[in-house]
Amino acid sequence: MRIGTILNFNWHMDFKKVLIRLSCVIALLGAVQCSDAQSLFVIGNDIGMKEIKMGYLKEVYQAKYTFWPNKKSVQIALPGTQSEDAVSVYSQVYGKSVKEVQKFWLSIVFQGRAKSPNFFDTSKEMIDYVQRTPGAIGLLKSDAGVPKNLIIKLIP
Amino acid sequence: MKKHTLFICFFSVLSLNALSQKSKVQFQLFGHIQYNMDQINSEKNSYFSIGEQDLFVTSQLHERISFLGETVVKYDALTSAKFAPSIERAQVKFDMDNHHSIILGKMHTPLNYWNDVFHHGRLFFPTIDRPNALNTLVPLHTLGVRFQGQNMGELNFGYDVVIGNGISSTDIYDVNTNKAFAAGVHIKPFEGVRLSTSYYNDYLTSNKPGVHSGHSGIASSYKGALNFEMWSASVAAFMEKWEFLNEFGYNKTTTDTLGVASNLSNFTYLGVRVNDNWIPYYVIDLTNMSDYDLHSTASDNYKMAVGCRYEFNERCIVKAQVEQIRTGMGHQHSAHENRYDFKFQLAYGF
Repeated sequence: MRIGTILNFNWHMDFKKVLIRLSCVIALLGAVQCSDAQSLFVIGNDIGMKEIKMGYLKEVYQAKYTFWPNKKSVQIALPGTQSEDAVSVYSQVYGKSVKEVQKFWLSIVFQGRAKSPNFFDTSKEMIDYVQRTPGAIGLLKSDAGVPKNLIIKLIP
Repeated sequence: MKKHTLFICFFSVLSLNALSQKSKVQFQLFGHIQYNMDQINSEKNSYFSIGEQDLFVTSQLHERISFLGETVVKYDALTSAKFAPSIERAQVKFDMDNHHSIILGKMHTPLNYWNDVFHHGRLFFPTIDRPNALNTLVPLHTLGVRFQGQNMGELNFGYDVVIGNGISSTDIYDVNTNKAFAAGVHIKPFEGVRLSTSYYNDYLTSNKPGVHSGHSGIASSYKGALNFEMWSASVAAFMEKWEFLNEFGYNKTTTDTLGVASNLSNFTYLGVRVNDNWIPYYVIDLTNMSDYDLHSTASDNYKMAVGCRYEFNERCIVKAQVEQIRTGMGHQHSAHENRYDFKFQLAYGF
């Protein structure tokens, strides 16, 4: 009976159903991904680019570069531990908790292998810092209150 | 009156200068407090102790130039207060480009993962104590020039080449013209993983420990010339769940008196993060100093420890550790000591 069922399996129809369901899942995952990307906004001042790829951004935030392509010194700005943006921004850029990211920076600065980043507890403080610091780059959860000249387009 | 005017002018210029400066200076303090309960053969002790208090300062002097200083106040039996400050690092770094830099000053040698990464910060130590090889074999510091490269290519290749004052030197003087040489290379193929190897050589015209050796505690009556070489290999994997570190060291000292002496060390650490805060761990630490070694003294040391680390956050952790240490000292390591320790450490940094 079971062998018969298998033999009678309508491969064409069932495969079609599976494909449709799989497409729905992929679309749903894509939407979740898009909504994540939309909740991350990059701001920068004189960093020699108006758009930045996500992969490059992650490398910058892992202290792999000291200078931008325009030779300006990289000045990293991050939400502080008290910031509402911290959990979201850290998980998108590092895939880590706030504690783990803080530990990473504490350790790498102590080793003398990177400059200390600047931490800000409010978006306004970060925007002000980026605005007055050439070479500065910052990450925000929302683009509210950000001057247009500071916005760097993030390419997933 | 004239004197007062001069003073006013001097301080005005000084304060104007201070106002015009925009350098960002950051101060941090790292330290630890410890409790020990030990039993050495049949003798028992119990005591609290203040550990190294580490003042860490960084400053950006120029777009390409930065300063890093680490001054530690630590126990010193020779002073009346029994504590004395010590400059552990004072280095000026010049960034040539994204990957290459030149560092001038007093620094830690790039020997072993532990010495290059954790320095004096107990907050970063995965265990309570550093490997025993750092007390007996590894030259910890040097004062000189370092060429450093990092984060190159897909494997995040890095190198360190150091030329500086040797084992017998102090922070202001070296007794001979030849300099110590150290070189290390590493790759970081995955996040949290670093594989490294290094080499160190110093020719001591007179065998006496200076401030850079880290093994000054071991007395040797030999004061003649000695060639000191060290190779090390480290595997470090500090992953999300598992933490593993193995430090292997081979040290060769050569003298006209007893010829070649081969000393060995191996330190293995294994930890597992059971949740966000708790990390139980296991340590085996072995060192063997040859009977032919004239730089220090013949000995062997075996330590086995189990412990647990609790991370309140990234700035405050506690560790508790139980350990057994078996030591053999002197010729053929015949003078034995058997020791059991319980240690509790609170480490902080802010």
